[in-house]
Parts: sequence; C-alpha cells; structure tokens
Amino acid sequence: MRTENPFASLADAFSRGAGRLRPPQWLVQEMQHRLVLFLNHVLQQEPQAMERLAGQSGRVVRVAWRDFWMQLAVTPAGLCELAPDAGHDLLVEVAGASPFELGRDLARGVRPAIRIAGDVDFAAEVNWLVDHVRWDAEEDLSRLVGDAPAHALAAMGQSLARALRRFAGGAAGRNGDRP
Amino acid sequence: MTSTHFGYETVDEGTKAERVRGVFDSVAQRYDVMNDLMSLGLHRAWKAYTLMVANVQQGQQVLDVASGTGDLALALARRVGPRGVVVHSDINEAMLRVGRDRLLDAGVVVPSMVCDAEALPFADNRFDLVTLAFGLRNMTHKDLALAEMARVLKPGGRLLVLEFSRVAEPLRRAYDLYSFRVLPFLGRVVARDSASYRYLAESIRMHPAQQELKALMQSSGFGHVDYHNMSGGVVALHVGLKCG
Repeated sequence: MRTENPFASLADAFSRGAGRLRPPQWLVQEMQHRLVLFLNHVLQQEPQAMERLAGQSGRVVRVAWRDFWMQLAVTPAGLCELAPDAGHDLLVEVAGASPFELGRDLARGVRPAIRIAGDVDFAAEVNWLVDHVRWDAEEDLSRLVGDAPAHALAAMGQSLARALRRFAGGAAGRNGDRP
Repeated sequence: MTSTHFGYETVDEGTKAERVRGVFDSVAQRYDVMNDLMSLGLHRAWKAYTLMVANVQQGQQVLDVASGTGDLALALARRVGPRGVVVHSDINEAMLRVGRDRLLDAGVVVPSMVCDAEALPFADNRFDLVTLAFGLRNMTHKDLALAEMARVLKPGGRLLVLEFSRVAEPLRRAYDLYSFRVLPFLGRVVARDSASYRYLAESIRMHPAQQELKALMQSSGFGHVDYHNMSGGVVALHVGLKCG
C-alpha cells in the first residue's frame, strides 16, 4: 500500500510559510554577517585556502537561493566580506528547492544542484574550497572544553549525523522519493 | 585649532585628552564595580568572548592598549605563559596604577607603561596581537591610533578592538532610556559622579558604528576586518588582520 509522502506535505507547508514570512532587513543582514564570520573562521583553519583565495582578491561572488542572495568579496587576506549589490564576477545559484528539501538533502549528505556562471579561474578556486575545506569542529570545541571531551563530543556528533543521514535516506526511500 | 567631540560637546582637540583624563581619574577606584553594575556583569562575557577569538598561544607577544584595570592583560598573561610577554599600557596613570596593583595581587608581573596609543613607543612589527577594550572611543585621533597599532603588529598579526557600538533597531529605544536615565543615576549613587557616566553614554553615540569603524580600520592598514556583534550590537568586537 502506498502511503502519502510526509516530506511532500511538510515541504509544502515550509514553502507556504516562507512565502508569507519575510524577516526584517536588519535580521537578514545580521544573519548574513554571522554566516560570513563563520565562513572566515573555517577558512582561517586552512591556511592553504586563504593563500588560494588571496589570489582572487577584489573579486565578487553572488550566492543565490530562491529570493535570497548575498554577495561576497575576497579581501587581500584571502577571506570574505559582504559586498554591495553592484556587479559580480561569479554567480553560484542553488537550484530552487524548498527549504525543507534543501535541509533534507544536506542531512542525507547530498549536495544540492548548483548552477555556476562567470569567471572560470575564480570558479575553479571556489570549487576547490567546496571540495577541500571543512569545519574542524573538534578543534574549536577543544578550545572550550579541552582535548579529550572535545574528541568524545565530536565522535558523538558524527554518530548523530550518520544516524540522521540514514533516517533521512531511509524515509525518502520508503516513500518512493528520489534517493 | 581643530575641534573634536567630547561626548556631545564640541571641544578643541588639545583639550579632549585632558578632559578624558579627568573622567578616568574620577572613576578609576570604582571602575570595576561600575562596569559590573552598568553592564549587569555582561562585560565579563564580552571579554571572555574576546579572549576566545584572540586564541593566544604560549610564547606570543601581546600589547594591551588602554588596558586600565587590567582585565584582559591578566587573562592574556596567563595564556602566553612564561615565554610570552603582555604589555599592560594606558595613557591614564591612575587607571594603570589600579590595574598594576590588581595584576600584582593576582601574582602576575608584566611591564606596565604609561603611553599614548597615538604614538606607541615600540618598534615596527613587534607584536603578534594588540588588544584594545573600551578605549578607542576616548581617543582624539582614532585613525592615528589604529595606524600605530597596525605599525607595531607583525605581518599576519591581529588587532582586537572591543568597543560599544550601534545597537540593533528593535533595541534602540530601551537602550537610549537605559543609557541616559539609568547610567547617570548609577554614576551619581555609586561613583558620586553622574557627569562621567553621562559622558560615557554620549561618547558611545558619537563613536563610529560597526561599518564605519571597519572602514576606518581598513584605511589604517588592516587588509581584512571582521566584526562580531554582541548583545544585539551594544558592543562589537572588530578584528583587523595586518596583511604581509
């Protein structure tokens, strides 16, 4: 017997809710700002990433998803900062999934469909970053709680992530959703 | 003579430093108590976050500018260990004395120096990290002070500026009420000096907001500047990176 896909109704609800709710501009800016801080923090954990990005200093990438977008400029240090909406060298557009579908794909470890257009060299560097740079959460935790507890917490987090991925993949499979 | 701001007053540049000195001479003995009262203890969390971002390593060379009663200098000195150095500096001798006594009471001996941030008596490329907590607002030539701090940093070194900033829109009315009614009242009752705490509220409003300070730091020699808003923008931590 085929049951109704619970993810489809949840995705609809998310889409309807997102359409009605528009966060205030100051909140959007603050969220974008926090995202850039986190991105820079991750980049600073990987000196090679900063070196590669420094070669693209001054270039601007526009990241877009549905109605949301942000422009990031590369600074001389090989880090990023928010840039005004005034032209860009590279466009990275996440295909129009609903917030729920996007979250589910990320939980399953599936990279969402992305359209890239613009400067080829810059695109190659951004692609290298996406493939090679990961947040070292254990390193950050160790500064707060010490090495051994940080290692235990990181292992627990990885187990939880694996379980979530299995659950998301299994539920989608049971409901005939795409793998 | 060129004019500048002392709170909401416009004063000659030559008199600002003297008037700021007067404020801090007046509040030095009760500075820590007032900080706890005025910020409801939050200043400790702001400084703890600053230390976390600083991520100081053993053996590093650190300059704490406008170090005052030495909160940051004390924590930094414990982190750099015996091979590192933390210089505890302030332009105000009364504040520096209170800080030096506090450091000695805690068993920490570091060099304490009266010095002007606009003319730092250190060689170029001397420090791994420069910190400045709640001091930039009081400086007459912020651009000169920032350029000096960039000069004494090694390439790749960082400047951390913790300072009051522009609060988020929804908090503005409540924050104004607190700043202009509650702070001077606390100053009058606890420190017996409401004028100094009115100056505090006014000087915060005259200080550059987050983006303006970021631009000022970039034009003063920092290749990359991030800022971290805390408590809805009541304070912001600006982190400037000196590029090689």
